Amino acid sequence: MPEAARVAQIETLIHPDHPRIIWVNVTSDGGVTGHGETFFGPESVEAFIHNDVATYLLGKDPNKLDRHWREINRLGITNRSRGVEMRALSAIDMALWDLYARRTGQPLYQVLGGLTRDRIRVYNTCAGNSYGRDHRGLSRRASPTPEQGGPLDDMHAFLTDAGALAEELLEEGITAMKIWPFDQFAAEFNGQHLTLEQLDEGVEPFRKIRAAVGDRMDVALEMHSIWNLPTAIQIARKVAPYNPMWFEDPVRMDNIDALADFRRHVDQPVTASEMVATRWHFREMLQRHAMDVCMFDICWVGGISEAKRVASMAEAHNIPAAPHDCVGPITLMFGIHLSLNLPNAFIQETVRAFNRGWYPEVVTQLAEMEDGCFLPPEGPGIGTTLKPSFLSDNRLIRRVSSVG
Amino acid sequence: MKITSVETIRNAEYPALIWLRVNTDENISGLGETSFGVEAVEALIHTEIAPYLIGKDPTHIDAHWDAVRKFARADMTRNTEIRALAALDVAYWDIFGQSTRLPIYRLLGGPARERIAIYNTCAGYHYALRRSKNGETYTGAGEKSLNLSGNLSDGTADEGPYEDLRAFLNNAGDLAESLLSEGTTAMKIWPFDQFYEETDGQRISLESLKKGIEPFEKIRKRVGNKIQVAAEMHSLWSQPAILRIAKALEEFDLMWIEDPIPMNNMDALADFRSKIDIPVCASETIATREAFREMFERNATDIAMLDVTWCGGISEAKKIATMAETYKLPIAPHDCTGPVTLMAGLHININAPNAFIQETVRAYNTGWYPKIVDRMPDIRNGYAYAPTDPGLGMALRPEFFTDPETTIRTSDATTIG
Repeated sequence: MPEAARVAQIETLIHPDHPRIIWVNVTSDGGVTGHGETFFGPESVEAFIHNDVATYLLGKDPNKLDRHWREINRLGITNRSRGVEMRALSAIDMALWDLYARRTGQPLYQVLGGLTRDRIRVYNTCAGNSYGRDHRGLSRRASPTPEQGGPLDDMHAFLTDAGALAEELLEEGITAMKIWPFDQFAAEFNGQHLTLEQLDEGVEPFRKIRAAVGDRMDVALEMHSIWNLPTAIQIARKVAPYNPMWFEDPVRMDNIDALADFRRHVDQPVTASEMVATRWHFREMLQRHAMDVCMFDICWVGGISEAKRVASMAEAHNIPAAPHDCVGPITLMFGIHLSLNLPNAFIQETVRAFNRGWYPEVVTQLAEMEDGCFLPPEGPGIGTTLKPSFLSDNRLIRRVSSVG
Repeated sequence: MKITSVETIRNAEYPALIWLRVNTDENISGLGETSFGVEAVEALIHTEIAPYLIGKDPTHIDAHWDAVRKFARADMTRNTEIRALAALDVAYWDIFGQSTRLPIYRLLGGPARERIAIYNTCAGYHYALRRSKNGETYTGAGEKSLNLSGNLSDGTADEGPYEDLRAFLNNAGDLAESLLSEGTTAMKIWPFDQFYEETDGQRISLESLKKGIEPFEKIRKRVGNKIQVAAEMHSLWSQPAILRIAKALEEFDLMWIEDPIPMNNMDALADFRSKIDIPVCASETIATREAFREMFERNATDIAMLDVTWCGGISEAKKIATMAETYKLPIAPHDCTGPVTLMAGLHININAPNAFIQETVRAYNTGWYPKIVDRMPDIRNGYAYAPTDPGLGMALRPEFFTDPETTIRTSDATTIG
């Protein structure tokens, strides 16, 4: 057990090229830094961290991880929220656990309980490098227009030439992919309805993938919680003949009975939900048999410790866990550590366009990939840190709270 | 009509409160309010919501709620996003009422009653939201709500006659008589919070239990059944601890027992309700019609408490009230936070057929609320009367804007880029 220490500094970083992300560094009085990250409304997360969380956390013993989770959760006067307060807590929890692992000289996967497997298979979420970075908040368009062309513009590829994309991914050893071809039709009826023509057009990428590569590629449908119940069921029935890997987030996660009803109407697995936070909300979903695969995003669910607790609960229901990443490099690294540790993990989300695009601009290293699988990261903690060239960019908005 | 700008207004004397004004091109401004985590609420409004809102028609209330809620995703609780949304929603209704020259309750479907009975929530002048008397920095919601005695032993003079928190802890019989003498026939107290820290709410000892029920004993001994008494539990307790407390309270014929456990497990709440003889009231801590649906479906509450500036605004409060009706449940709007919350809750309470009581804090109503707003609800002899002015029926005092402790941030067409 590491010797007594204090949390000396909390630093937040926002960069104009990444308008939806905030990085959070927690540093001990011994000079060791742990990294966290979260996504959406970074300015409000920054405000909450420095005005509310820092007052609590500065000067405290960083070893009391579970206590800090509970106390910071109570600061936010919320329950089961995935709002600003929970995103702040998630980033702080990530940083505290990275800090703890670094101070004990162990890789994070070891602190979590060691390696259950020596590699974790990935699926590619087919976004292009600028996905999620070119708009913010409410100004986001319901059906994003894909950026045009270019290698690794996977969203443009799945919308226009999904068969070729599948072939390319197979050549890299990637045997599973996730797409969202129905989102583009959401705006017309506000998610309340789809026409038969829209359904036909939406299912095209699945048809093309099967025509090109048969069953060698697993394909998941992401539905982004846009739809009402009957429309979600209609979409699922349209896609079902192509044997999707799963249906993800068909409806908004604030009515679990509706989600359970959706699941009863479909034959393939239902995955939910990166949009859910805390063990309490997942308990509800597991209890009502509302999903087949438990997805969470470490930087939204309540951090790495909450992700582990949620995954263990899912295991009790015979349900596997699938960490989300379409967010940032720190979240991805945490996900990889967790996926290598969890007995009930089986696949890690990744975005190859990010891994080869902007992630290496921000962090010093990512886990190695071999044959469509991530290998264990090296070094203590999460095994990466923020790049000096990124930290010295004078466009970075840095805010620091420190002791004394 | 178009929204031209949104102003958020904060004041150092009230570090847990934030107001906002939605300004339009027709010389009408709407007032909103919410509380806690106010820096985050302010940042969210200006960075994420204002770009959507500027230039829109403020009376397209349901559309704005839907659009902003989608951004907040699957949330059923009073997080930053929902509190921001709630504050804005109140402002839209204020504008709608002013532009039609009708009080909000008329737009909701008219009055079900001319006046509504009140209960006094027995807080003192500095409870929860204000800068503490010795000028300490505000330390966060959770700690502040437990700050029973932090401001009571510093030796400074009372601000007025209504230090009701100290009163319920020490001489609850006198307090009950004082309220009855003003015509107020219901009160709410929370004498168990002080025992939370011993075990982080996991257990209550028999000794602490005995001490906790003393105020209830004193009230019944002094005034019998003349006053209704509600017990507030602030979601602090584990299942066994709260069952032990509730069992001990059954003999006092309580109006309700409120927020016994954290509102993150409605099956646990239903379990609690099934085992005790006191009406359960929940919860100011949840938000959106989906969260209330879940609570109602699980038979987890008897009374639906809601806070207009936490649950999602006037729009959402009305929807929740209607849903509660279908489950045969009454509503009870919350106020222990701010003047706009009080007034907004009152509009709901005048309109909703299934309302029966309005929460008020006499220390706030006579103390600091009138320093902030230009008009207060008409509260006398145990009743709050239907507001008479168009819209919300109150505005921030002009001098509040020029107070050196007030900070204002504005978004308009030039700032949203």
